[in-house]
Amino acid sequence: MDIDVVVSSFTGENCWSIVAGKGTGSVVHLGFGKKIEMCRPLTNPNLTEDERKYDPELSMMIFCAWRIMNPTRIICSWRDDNEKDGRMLSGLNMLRDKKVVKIGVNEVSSDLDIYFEDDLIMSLFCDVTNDYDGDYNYHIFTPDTIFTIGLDSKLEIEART
Amino acid sequence: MLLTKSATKAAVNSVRKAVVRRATTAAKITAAGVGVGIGVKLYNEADSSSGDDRGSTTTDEVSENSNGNNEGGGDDDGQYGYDKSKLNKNRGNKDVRRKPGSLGKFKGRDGLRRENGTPADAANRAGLDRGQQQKLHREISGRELKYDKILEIAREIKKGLL
Repeated sequence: MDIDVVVSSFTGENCWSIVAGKGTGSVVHLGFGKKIEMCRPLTNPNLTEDERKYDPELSMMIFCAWRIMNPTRIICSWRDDNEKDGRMLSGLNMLRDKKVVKIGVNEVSSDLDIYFEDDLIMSLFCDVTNDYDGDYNYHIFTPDTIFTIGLDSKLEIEART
Repeated sequence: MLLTKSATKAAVNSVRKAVVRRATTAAKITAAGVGVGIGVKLYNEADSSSGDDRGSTTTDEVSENSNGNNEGGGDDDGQYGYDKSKLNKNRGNKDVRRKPGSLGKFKGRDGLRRENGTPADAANRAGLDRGQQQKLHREISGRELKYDKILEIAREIKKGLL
């Protein structure tokens, strides 16, 4: 299965979970779709109640470089301050409760352009090409499968346990 | 001029002492030129062998001269070992080592990547799969936890306690 088929399932889904911040660097977890109740809720006080109680039906965990912009300006990027009131989190929170309009995929690099409502665009640049910084560019979690874009944008598919 | 036996002996001793003094002074000059570490060693050896302490420099004095005494002019910062006034010559009074007001406020590329690596390392050590890694990320994000605590949470996730 190609990654563009997978990401197309995000279209029309609401982004209700955004988890990032100090201690996890520039890594971002975005949750979409239905809310699935967890057996044991998370205890992180920085999350919303929904983020603590529910797993998202579809999610994305981003390790590579990313940037959020609208047609007139750059809002934030992975390089920004990840403190509570910093530019990274305030920019990411602009995506909260916004639906995905469409997703563009680069066939070679698997870079993504995720178009949200209100003309917000989140771009992912798969810059992880060696295992010095990390092993993955991003993961996509669906209810039964994990799709990983790894080193050099290679796709790995794994059944979810 | 004829000298008595005792006078001859005294004259020979006097010449011998003068030679020793010259040798000691030459050793000190060489040592000072070669370097502080060797210099200290040579001073001590010369002092102990000759018993001559005239003008000798103690270890403390040597270290003070090499580090603290600033006779060269300029705004030399002894701690960093460079002349800041020269570095900032074309930049007014700005400190060129960092962006003004940014110290501790922003992380550089490496700092953020390093922060990414800490949970990943804990997840690997605890043997988490990708789904569990996602859970770990959501559990620790924004909490500023130390590595040991992250590892403890990772192990709890692995055991299904979280």
